[in-house]
Amino acid sequence: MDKDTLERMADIAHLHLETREIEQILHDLGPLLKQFDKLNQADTEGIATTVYPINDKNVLREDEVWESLPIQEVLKNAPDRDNRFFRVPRIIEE
Amino acid sequence: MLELDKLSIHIAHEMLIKKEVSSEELTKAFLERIEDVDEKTKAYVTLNGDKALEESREIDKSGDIKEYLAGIPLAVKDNICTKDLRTTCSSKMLENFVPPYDATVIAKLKDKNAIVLGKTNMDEFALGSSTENSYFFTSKNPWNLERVPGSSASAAAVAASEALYALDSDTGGALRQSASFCGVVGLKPTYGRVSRFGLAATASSMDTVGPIAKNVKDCAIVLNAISGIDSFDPTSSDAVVPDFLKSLESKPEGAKIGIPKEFFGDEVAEDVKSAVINAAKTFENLGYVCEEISLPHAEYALWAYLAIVAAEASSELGIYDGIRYGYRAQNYEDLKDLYKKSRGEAFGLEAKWHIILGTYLSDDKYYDKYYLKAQKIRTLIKQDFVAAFEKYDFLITPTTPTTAFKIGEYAGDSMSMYANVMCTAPVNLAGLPAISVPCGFAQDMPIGLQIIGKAFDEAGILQLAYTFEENTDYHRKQIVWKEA
Repeated sequence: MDKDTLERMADIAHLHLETREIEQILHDLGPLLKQFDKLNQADTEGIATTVYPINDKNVLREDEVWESLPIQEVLKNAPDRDNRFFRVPRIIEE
Repeated sequence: MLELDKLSIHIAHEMLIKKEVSSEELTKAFLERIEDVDEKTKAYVTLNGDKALEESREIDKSGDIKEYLAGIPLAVKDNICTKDLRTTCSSKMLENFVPPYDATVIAKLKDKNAIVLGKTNMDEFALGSSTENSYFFTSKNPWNLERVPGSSASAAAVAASEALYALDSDTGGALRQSASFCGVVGLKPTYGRVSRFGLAATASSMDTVGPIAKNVKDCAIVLNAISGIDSFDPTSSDAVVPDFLKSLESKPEGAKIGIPKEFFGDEVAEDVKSAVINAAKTFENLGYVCEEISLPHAEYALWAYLAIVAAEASSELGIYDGIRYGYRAQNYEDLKDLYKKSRGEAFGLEAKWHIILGTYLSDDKYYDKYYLKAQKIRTLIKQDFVAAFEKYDFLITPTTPTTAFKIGEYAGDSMSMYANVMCTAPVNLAGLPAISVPCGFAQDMPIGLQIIGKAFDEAGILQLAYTFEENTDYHRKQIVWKEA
């Protein structure tokens, strides 16, 4: 992984990295990705993927109305709020 | 005077029933122990002292102690949500997060009048093997304070009698590895056996909640209380839940035990190998057949595991955005910058490289080469286990390749530390149940034996582990505190 790729990944993941962190991660991931090539030695011709190990089936339920958690309790953890709403920076230009 | 070191859930329960001790006295004794030794172990991130005492008094008053766990104090890993009690995942991101609800496992224990003493330290978002990635501090192994307690400090809390048992989580082995490092018993149930609702996800296709306790019987008691389907967790299973405690009344008659040779490679320390071989001899002496077998794809397991855990963790950690809950940066230019700075300032380096790696592996260009390949290898590993379990009832391996390593031993080399989960991670890939029980000591540090079972055969692995425990003394050895 080169620096440009890493910075592109950080941007996709919405993750700000300091210069020293970029250097550290590049240094760490380089040898690791080489090890990953070991995966390609395994013969997986005709093998299906496993996503969930046990209950690999869809679960449906009735669409019922039930009581939600108290909104004020839930919003207590919001870093910035206004009454019943999360407050965020302006996202639509005037 | 209560001898906390010799106490277990079933003994404490009998004492409560016979009124030899009250829940308040029990709770107070554990809080005093925490006061005495937690400055050494640093196992707890948050204590629930006053509330725990208040609850214990109410339980004493009501006399409602018929249930096994009633009035008995436990520790909870800090990635399991506890209503009105701070739940941080040992991350700056959730430093001030107070859940407005209980995880299903906590609700089930509270229904039985269990008492939560506090929340235990862990690697940030359960990424790591040593608690060195915790935002708060590094916890210590009570057997030797210069050594790590494993990825989760709740095993250290149980080993140091700072709680009678703990609820822990296991994604690639944290629960079993910590139990092994601290000389206690840890059970990772089958994926789906126990609800994950309210467990902060690390890799949701592998995350599991299970008990850590001082002995096998106690693990069975806790597993009885937390198992079963949950409508809030669509991956939880409707498989019949047997009475695990009752199952200990019988022996796994005629059981055949396989010993996979791939779990005894060069990475595994000699004294660990010989302790596990000795355990096999114990089983043979009891009349069980033990044979060497092969799980041919195990050599790929560690890398397949890392690819899957990174891809899933990068996705799970996407919910932390600085908007709804968790840390928000003070200075930012616009919404995207708010996301980036909040996440950049609040996640530690380990979480960051997992996010970068996971994003990379799920990128269009590399998806087939790494992630899809890892998921196919996951199928092969699962098939290896299925084939082994056609001939054998149980597999035994070391839980970890070495005993607890020194704090700082892998500083700046988290990749090498990953090898620590080589014996446990394959079990998570296949979703199987496994238990770690003490099986020896090397330089006074505990060694763990891992018993792996068929899907949903927790009763079987508990029986075999109990048989082992009845015929050995390792779980009785008391800690001799060594100062760092």
